[in-house]
Amino acid sequence: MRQLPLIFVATLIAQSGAAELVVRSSTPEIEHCADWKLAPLDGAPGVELFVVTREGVLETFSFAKRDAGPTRAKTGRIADAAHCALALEVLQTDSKTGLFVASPRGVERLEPDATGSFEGAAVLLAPRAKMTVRTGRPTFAPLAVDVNGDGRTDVIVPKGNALEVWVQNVATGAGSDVEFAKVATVQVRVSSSESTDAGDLSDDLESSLQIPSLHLADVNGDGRDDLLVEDGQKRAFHLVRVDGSIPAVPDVSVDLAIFKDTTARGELTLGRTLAGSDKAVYESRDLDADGIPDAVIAQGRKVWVFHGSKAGPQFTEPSNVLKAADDVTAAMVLKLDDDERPDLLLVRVVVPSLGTILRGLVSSWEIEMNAVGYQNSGERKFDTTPKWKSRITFTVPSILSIAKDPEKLLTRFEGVGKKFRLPAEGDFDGDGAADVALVSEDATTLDVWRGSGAASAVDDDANDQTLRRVLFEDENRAWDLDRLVAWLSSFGEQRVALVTGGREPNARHALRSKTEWRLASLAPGDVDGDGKSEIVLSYEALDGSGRAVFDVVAWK
Amino acid sequence: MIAAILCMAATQSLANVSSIVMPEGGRVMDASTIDVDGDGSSDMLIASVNGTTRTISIHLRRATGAAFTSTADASLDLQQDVVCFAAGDVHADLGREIVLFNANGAFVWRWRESEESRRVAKLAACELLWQWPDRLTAFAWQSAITDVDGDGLDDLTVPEPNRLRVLFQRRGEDGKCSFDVQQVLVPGDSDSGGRALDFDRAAEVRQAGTKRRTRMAVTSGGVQIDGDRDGVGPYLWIQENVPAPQIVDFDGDGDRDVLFLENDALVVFTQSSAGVFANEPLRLKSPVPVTRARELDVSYLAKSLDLDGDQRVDCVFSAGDKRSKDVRTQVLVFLSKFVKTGEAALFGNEGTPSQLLLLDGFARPIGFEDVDGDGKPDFVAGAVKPDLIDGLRAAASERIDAELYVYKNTGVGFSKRPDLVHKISIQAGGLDLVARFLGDVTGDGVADFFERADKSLLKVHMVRRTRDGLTVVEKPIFEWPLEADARLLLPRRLGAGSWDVFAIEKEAVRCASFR
Repeated sequence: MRQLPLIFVATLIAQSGAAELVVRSSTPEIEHCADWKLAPLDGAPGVELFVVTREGVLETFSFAKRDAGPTRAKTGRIADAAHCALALEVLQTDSKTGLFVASPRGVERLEPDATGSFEGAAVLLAPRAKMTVRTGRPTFAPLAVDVNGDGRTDVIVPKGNALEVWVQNVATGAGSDVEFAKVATVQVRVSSSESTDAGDLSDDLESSLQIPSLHLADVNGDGRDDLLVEDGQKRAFHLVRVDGSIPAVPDVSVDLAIFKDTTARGELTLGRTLAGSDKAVYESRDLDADGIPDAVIAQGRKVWVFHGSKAGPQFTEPSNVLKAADDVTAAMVLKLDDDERPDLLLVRVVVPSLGTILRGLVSSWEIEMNAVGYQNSGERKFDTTPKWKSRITFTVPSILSIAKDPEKLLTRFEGVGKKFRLPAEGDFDGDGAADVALVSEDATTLDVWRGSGAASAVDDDANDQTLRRVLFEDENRAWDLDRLVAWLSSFGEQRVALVTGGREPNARHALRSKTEWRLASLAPGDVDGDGKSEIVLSYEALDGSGRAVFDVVAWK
Repeated sequence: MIAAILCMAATQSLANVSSIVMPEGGRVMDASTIDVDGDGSSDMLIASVNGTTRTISIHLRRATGAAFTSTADASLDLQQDVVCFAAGDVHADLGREIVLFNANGAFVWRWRESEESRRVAKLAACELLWQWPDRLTAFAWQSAITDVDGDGLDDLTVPEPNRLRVLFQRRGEDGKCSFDVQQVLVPGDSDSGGRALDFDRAAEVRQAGTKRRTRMAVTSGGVQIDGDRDGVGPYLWIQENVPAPQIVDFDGDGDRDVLFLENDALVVFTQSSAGVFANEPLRLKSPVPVTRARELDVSYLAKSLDLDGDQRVDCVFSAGDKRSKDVRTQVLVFLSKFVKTGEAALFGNEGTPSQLLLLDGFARPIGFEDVDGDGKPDFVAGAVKPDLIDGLRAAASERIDAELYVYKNTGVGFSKRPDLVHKISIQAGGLDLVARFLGDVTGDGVADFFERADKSLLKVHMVRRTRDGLTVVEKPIFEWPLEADARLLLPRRLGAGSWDVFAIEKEAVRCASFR
């Protein structure tokens, strides 16, 4: 269908009935838009459009049920727009959504008034939870999270190479002010890089900083997320208690460096090297369907399996120790067969030596990968002999042919990326069934499929099956760039077909002109409170002015 | 054997070697060379780490005996927030002080001051581009110190996100320095994101439970990928940049101007009078616009400098020739003096270069260095030619053959053909290649050739004038064994006050002094 000219599709849609998407409302152009979100802010049914500009101006737009321009609430302002992280969250369950602002002043909160305006003054919630990172512009971050599952929102702020967790306590002082107490300083792997070469006109000075989020997951099956800390080779687990408290000292910790395979390394093909490092590989997944994740650690040729229990993870009594035939580059736990228990996949990547790569300057060269799969035997153990085996080769074009025109290669993969379209889901037509909207590959239209039950979500199992097919079921084990691009394109289309049921779209909306605007983001949401979902489209001006405009697209 | 020893003695006599060895447990992380004490000779600044303590130490060059010793003349354990450092005369103390930068300001370390409370003081507030301190090191950033307004005092030029902050030094009658006079130069729109070129991204779907799309960005440092793609996404991912400012006299009026290369334009802030830049910059349409393909082009480079000695800036671009079937590189030379009256400065109205050189293979300018000693910068380029690579031989030897060219400066451009061609066999695999005509160490008026084509060896070759041009004498006149992972710290040019070449190793800095 994708290959049909657009005119035929439009004709088909026009003939098929009254299904139509219209622009219900548009905001005025907003200068220097930094970010936006949909959130319930004015107390009325439905969500409002919240926009923050680079200068820290806070805008709220409400939309009526009928075609009309949005109501623009009075603007608010953030004191330090270049050093702030934002979150729109409730303070506690059943309370109103407000704006958390983390900055060098501490964590503040602005409450919206009855019109959704943030005109009022900010209240300092946690003065000592200072966020000193320069964000350059107001930026949303996961800073307001109910870490301990007690129904009250806690705050997380970065400090150096750590995240500080400030838990909201029941106020004990006079009045009803909330209080925050620091319960943990969690080391995280902050990555930063800088380009400092400045001698040439073509040099660019660059700075990149990534602060990871707090890793929360239930590791003891009590239904409450626990705190996971990753610091280099060390892993630590803080188990959240029934009363919501988080111990400052981890309940369980392990240094992966203690896992060493002392047997001699596996043999390698002459002139080839093993890709990977001597560091242990850590994977976590529920192996025995008891609702508690188990741990798999691989190093060298050895694999240890540790059973997790209600007491949390443990790394002292392995339920299974495997010795693979080859050194392990990567380990994954995933479903390789049709039962419910995930199996173990060990991968060994062998890359050519420097000499072979040099020969590969002018001629193609190969990377080889060996994959072996061990079936989950159902007793928190994997079989000791592999059930699945394969050897895959990937032929890489000569390096100089890539260097001659790297843009050509990049463009091919960019084309593939456009086929992986993410759906926006919502009940757009109000019939009670979930519909999906997808932006077309060429970014000219927004297509909507009405819910029919045929659509299915793409889940982790689908990814497992895909990997299984590629590694063990496809008889053609020889890959090259052309085959990879073709396969990825086909895979992307299949995923879209899974979502749409392979049907024609029920409605199509032409996006704004690509010569003037770029569709930057979209979100489904019931902006007028009528029980049906609309789609909010956010466009950026292409002239680099930082202008943005929002269209609300609705089912007519 | 005797011959070998004699040869070794002969080559080593060209330079005296001395070492600065770190205290036990200490590791050298970065180094810089500049005259700190004002005696006219470059000294050594070393950033090191020992455990969790980061230190900057000053080693002054001795006039006699070993040029450097392991004992530091001054040192400072750094605060956790220090990002980088430079040396500049920013205080009434004798010589230069050390300027320390953190995310929010510049501070002076008065290394001669003995009273602890007076050693470090704040100079000015600024928003340094690189806001995150490395736990192990602080890097040298000497570009932050320049006399911009020509008053003989060191000013601060601080790169900030999307802009450059120039902080002019003023001295009161009491000798007290201040940096209150500032000007912020913004080359482009703050939303343009500098020259980092992104992928053509699909629209982001914002919906709870939607799988996060991995984010990627192409930068001059390579391709960056969202490092937390398996989790909920990073807490913060901040990318900031600014085109590297070039502080040169653009129009020949004796004032230093500031140039930025944007994607499609050269942006020039002219200094109309000392310390005053024009509010509106000149925007000259670039004849070689920056696209993503250019950013990925191994041959792409742009350089601004005065090539013909008319005190005005000229410009050289190199880029792969995409229209050619064969791999070749174009070098476009733009001389200010050839622009017709009334046309746009430097590039003219049409953007036609005053000279076009074509080089076979993947070529790239290596430098603009006065090789023949006539005082004008000559053009030095290196090239790898695919058709000359013998894959099997390269695989067996683990070396790649490259060619080095020198085109002499003729005053109206460069020679049409190279005046020097030299073959280099480069050891593959992570080599920090050095191929520089660094300065005249033999006294014949011609700059000699410093070559590190092997990880473990620096060689100096004499360069001679010939009837046809210049030639590199094959047999080296100096050889210096290096640790395989040593980094070389070379002066801009060997000459008066800077006759030292440094090898930065894990636990020591070694110096070869050629005078």
